[in-house]
Amino acid sequence: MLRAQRGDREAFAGLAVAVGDRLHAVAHRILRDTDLAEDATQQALLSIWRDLPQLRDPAQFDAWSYRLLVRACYAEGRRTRHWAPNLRLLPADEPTEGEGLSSVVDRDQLERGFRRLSIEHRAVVVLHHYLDLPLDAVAETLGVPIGTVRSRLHHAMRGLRAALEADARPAVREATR
Amino acid sequence: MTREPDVTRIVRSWLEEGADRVPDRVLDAVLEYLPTTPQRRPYRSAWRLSPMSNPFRLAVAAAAVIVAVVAGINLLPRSGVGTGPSSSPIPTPTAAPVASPAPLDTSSLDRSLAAGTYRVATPFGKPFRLTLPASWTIKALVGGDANFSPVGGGGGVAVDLVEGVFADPCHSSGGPTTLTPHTLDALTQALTHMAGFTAGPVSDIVIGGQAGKFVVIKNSIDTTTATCTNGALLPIWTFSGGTSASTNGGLTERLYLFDVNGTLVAIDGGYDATTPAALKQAIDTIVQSIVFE
Repeated sequence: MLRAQRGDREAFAGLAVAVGDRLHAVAHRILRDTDLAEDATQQALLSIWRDLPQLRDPAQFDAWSYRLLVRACYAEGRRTRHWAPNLRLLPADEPTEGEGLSSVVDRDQLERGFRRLSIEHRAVVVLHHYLDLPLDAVAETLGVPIGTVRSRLHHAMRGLRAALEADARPAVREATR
Repeated sequence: MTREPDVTRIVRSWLEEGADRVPDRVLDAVLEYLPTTPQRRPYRSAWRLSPMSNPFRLAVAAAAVIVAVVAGINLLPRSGVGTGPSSSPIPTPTAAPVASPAPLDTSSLDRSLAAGTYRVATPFGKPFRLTLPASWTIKALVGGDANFSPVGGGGGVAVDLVEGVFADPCHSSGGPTTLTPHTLDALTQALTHMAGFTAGPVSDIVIGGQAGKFVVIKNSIDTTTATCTNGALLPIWTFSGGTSASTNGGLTERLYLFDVNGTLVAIDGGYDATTPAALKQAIDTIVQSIVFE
């Protein structure tokens, strides 16, 4: 990292390979769209390269890189106000196993419920429930007060629970957005 | 009814699904863009590597004029300042807070701000007000660090709540030295005796009604040849949370040090002979506008 901070492109290439998967996984979970996630990951990596000399404490790299990634996700979210259809055909007769996520219906309802959330709310859910960051670390990463993080998480989880409890289940093939 | 623990478990399990590998085309594109994506140096040295364009120089000059005009119009209480180094006199303070300064918080990060007086509080641990020229922004705002610079980089002003000072910034693996006692004199003593640094005369100052010390420190460390613990970064002090504020080799820091009701505050408005005059003036004006509550 120190070599990359000094402008060593080869060193940065190694750093990008090391963190690229992790950043892309987070971006994909926030944006729920492959193309948008790739654009956000690319933009975040370029931001990391551009601003790396300004990172004053290398130990803070992870939190700092997530902050840049989330900003890139916000930008992608703004750039595409209307989500590009992400066509996914659901088998009409897919059996449901009745146990949480094993149900395709649950998965679909979660997907739709998650997409109704703002990017800001999704980011909190992903950082906390996917990366396992404690709430104070999420607040630090996002640069918002911890009360805001708690509020966003509460709102988001309430929305996802409502989505899971929705009675209307797709009876036919459906394109999710 | 889905119980809350179930929702959490289901959401966590669902999040485990999905893409885990970044496609090679993304990494290839990033590497392709690197040659045309210049790195931004730390604000304290940015102008050395990235000379400002003429339009930007004009913008900074215009911003400085605006600040001076605003400060003159306000006719609010003035703060005094003592004698600075003879080679680089500290300008008489001119800016002062207006009655209702606009709040600055983390939602303002990286946004281009209008010229005016702002109040910096949460999450920063010691609320203060300052006056910024147009097209400046707040680059960082955490419990112990508030960092301002022109949009697009260049010089800047950092306001830090200091916890410890590194006795040897190049060889910093031992961590910072705790200031004992935690006083302004101890802070001044530590910052003027760091290994590899030289310090100018220490002078008494008053900014925003707060008495303090002013000193210019320089280092002659060549981080391209010296084997420093953090490479190009020379940590000077730590602020709340243990994060360190760093400089780079060969740079000059202009430090304004205060004890604000038991909290040690360091304001860094660093520039040197190569800094454009308009930017120097803007930095000085901003520093002199700072008023702690």
